Amino acid sequence: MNKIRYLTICFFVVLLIPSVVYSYDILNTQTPSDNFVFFGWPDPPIDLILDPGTLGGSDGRATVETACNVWNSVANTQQLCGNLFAGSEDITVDNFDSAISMNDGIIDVIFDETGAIIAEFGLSPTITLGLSSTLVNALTGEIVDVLMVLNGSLLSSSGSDLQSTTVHEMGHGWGLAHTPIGGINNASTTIGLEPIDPIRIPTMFPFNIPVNDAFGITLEIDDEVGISVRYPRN
Amino acid sequence: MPFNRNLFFILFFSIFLALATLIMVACGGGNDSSTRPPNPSPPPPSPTATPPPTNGVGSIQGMVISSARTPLNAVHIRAVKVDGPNIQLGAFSGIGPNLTFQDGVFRIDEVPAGNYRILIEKLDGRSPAFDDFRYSQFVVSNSPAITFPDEYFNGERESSTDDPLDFIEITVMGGETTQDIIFITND
Repeated sequence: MNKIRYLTICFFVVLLIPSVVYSYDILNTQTPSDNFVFFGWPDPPIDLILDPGTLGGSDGRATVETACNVWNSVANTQQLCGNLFAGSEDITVDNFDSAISMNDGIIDVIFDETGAIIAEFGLSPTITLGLSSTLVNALTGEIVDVLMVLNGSLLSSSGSDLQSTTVHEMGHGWGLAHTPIGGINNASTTIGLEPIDPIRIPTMFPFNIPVNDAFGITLEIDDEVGISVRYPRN
Repeated sequence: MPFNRNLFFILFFSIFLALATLIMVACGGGNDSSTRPPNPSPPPPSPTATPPPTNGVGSIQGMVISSARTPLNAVHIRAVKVDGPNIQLGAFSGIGPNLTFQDGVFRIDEVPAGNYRILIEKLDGRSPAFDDFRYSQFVVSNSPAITFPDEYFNGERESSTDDPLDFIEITVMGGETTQDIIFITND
């Protein structure tokens, strides 16, 4: 697991107390010369290579295809998802290190059926639905590669939805950060101005939507604005 | 292929969490108009007299400053559509037009035409772990540690002592930028 160790630079783990409201946002970083650059692929669409295993016992490819269609359907936005290729071997915690190439410009999607890979990242597979990591040139903000890990050990239910998680993690793969719109919602009764209905919580909100996590499958306007600002169709 | 440890490459992890237990905060109803204190001054003419356009998208641009007139970064701005409050968009101060960094400036693009209430919300306070994320590289390091109550934009009545719940509606026209949304925080 040497690769995992090298990848582990920065985590952000958030308490589930809906509150502070961020907005759609794009991942960014500070360069050595104190400028800031936003993350993004320089030349989409981007191809994906899929773990040939299952996701939650079902066809993981179909789940990824649906997520691609969601992001590729945003108006005034470039096509982001390219071709989907099947990998040659089921990726597990045992072969992860040798099976993944993190510098090839192709998004690697791993179906972690047991949650063991999530655990190797130091996260609890009982509460973490998925993660994405982005390799970026910090001088330019150009994304070099992305790794998505989807936790298949947490089967879809009303409280957590694998399809919704896939759409969310793919959003990170394009360079979107989390949005806070949703922290103040009509179901949570958190103190704050302008609560939003749970069905309208953006997909890039960082937590599941307990009343029905499948609400996250469709993008909301905050998601669409974020992606269209980063990848405007010329 | 061995992983490249070049210092000019940085990795970020985005973790989507599903926790089994929601921690609910007691109901506060911050937008309950019945709790709004009386406005000490008569309101100026509303800028919403013009019927809202229904077509196209526009932009909202403005700035957030402190009571000392210092531009503030890392303040979150939300636009809530008046006739459809589930349409909410946002940005945070410090990023201006074309994704350029400008102290205190915010801009929200691709805003569906219509009337909006605009509000600001502080970065700090309610969930510090959230704040520690990536913003620590940009926003936090460039922002003074201040606190202020969430508040609506209330046009000419904006001041460091205004009523946070007092608001006006602004109009976004298709293809145009609604500017001069200047928030003064009650810090």
